[in-house]
Amino acid sequence: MKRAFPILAVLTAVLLSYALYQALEVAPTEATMGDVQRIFYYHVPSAWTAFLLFLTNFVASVVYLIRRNTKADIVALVSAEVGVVFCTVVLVTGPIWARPVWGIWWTWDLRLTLTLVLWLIYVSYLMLRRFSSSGQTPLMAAVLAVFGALDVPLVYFSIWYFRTQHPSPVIGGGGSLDPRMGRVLLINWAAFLCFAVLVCWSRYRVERLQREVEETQALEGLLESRGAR
Amino acid sequence: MNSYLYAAYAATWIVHIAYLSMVSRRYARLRRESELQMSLPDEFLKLVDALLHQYEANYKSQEFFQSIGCLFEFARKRGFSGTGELVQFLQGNSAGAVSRLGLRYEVSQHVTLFEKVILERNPALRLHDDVRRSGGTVAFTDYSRDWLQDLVRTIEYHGLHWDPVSGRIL
Amino acid sequence: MTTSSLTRATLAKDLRLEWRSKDAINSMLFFALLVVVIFSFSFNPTAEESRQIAGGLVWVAFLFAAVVALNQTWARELRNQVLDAYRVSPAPANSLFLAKAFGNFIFVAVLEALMTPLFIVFYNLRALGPTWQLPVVAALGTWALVVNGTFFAAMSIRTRSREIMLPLLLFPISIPAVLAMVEATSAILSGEYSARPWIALLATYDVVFTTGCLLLFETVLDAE
Repeated sequence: MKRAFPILAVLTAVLLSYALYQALEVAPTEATMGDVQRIFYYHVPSAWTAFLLFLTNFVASVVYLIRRNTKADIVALVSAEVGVVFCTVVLVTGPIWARPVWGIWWTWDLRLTLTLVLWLIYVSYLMLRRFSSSGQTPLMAAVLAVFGALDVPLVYFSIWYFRTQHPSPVIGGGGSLDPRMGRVLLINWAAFLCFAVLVCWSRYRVERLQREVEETQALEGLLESRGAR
Repeated sequence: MNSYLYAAYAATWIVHIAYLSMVSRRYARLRRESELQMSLPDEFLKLVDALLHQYEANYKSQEFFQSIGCLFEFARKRGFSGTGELVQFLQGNSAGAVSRLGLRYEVSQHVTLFEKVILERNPALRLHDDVRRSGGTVAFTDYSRDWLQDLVRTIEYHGLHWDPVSGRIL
Repeated sequence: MTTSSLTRATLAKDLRLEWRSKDAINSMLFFALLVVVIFSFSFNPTAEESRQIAGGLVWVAFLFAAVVALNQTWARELRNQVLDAYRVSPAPANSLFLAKAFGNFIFVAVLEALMTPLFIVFYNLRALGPTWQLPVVAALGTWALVVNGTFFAAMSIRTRSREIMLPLLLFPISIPAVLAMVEATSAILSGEYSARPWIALLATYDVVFTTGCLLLFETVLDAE
């Protein structure tokens, strides 16, 4: 297990550079958008990874609520945090792509809005974890994660209704993907998934270490106060 | 047009690297703190001695139970798992005091006593979920020490007495 | 005692307290009034414009004002360890939750009833769509805010800086509900499209989150 981490790190680095080469050189240039369309190979895999991490957060939170297992709590925290990072990437690259293609930075499109709302929900989740007092954090956070997951379909439908009433420039959708593009997309997704696993793993170890240090500190405080008397 | 593409790729990695540097800075800080903690055994052993003397003085006090909880936790952090190993650790490090008190017997007895009290619990007491879930075994965390203290207090509040030898509520 | 009688007892206690002190309702009223005046000032809309933006303004004002009341829900029970007493007592947690949620619903409903005439005056409102749908939207929307607000207020009393924490938790989760309330109200006021899908969405939101709150409230109340 000790060697698995460096192996994964090397694999991720290789995959990421290969995916970058594929995205910039191998993938065909899109007919109407030109080279700018290559943002797609970073934007979409990041979005999928973020959604997958949020799903992981939900599953881990439910496991925590049932079993009260510390590991599940750490997994929930880590996946939410890394998910927010990937979601931020999506929200930053999205407008950079939209500007040259549609001439606008932002539009209240279904997918964009859904991503933004998810980002807001999970940032509030991380805020709660930061602000609540130590002993109750995992439980409160797990409950909030369940509420956030309940909210997602409602957010989806509300934005969908909203869109049907306030039509805006039709974006993407329809049209089939060139199979070569699809292949490059999948390679990029695999690379980013590996990267996400790597980051989560490191963050998981840091969190474990942090909890141990904090516990020991509390313990030393207690021992000292007893020993002093 | 291509500048948008490169801007997007650069932005992606700026976000990731900013996050990773945050994590690694935290790791470096924690690493330093944890090494500092691991270099404290001398202090710790002095405390063990002090505690054992205290134990002699207040055999039945709540503080004893709290202190034993601390010891367990501390020993666990240094890689000791069960009661037996802990006793060996204590005997190895603080042999005089331990043999004086016959700690081997006492420690293991008290662990089972905790369990007994919880299993034969008074149904009127509201138990914490963690305890309920684990079927009565208590981990000596910060929390359960407080909990135990509360339990003893609750028992006394109801005009009852908890006999630490038999583990029963009288 | 049954769940409903416990709920009634707690609700009556809260209403009596509020009737005597009028803390929550006064601060909410004044707050909402300020929002109305400031918005009216800064936009100075014509009747046609106000029909389009009023739905948003009304609900934003009510949302912010409701947070004032929601923050007081549990803070009151912290004094003298009342909340701990609730936790030790054998009373079902959900009866307490329902009482608090109903109490907040009544406070916010009273606020809305008092503020609506003001909105009509300041923004020259007249509904062009079916007016009878407005109370339905108001009731469903208020419950949507209040049920989650009461729940999150119980969570945020465990945090540092709890007054700030409640809106941070409540607003992101409430986005679909707020969107539905605003859109339904605008639909009724402008009469341009039907409010029905939005009312259905609000009702779904209410059912989903009321169930969620009732299932998880005991966990939150007992959290150590």
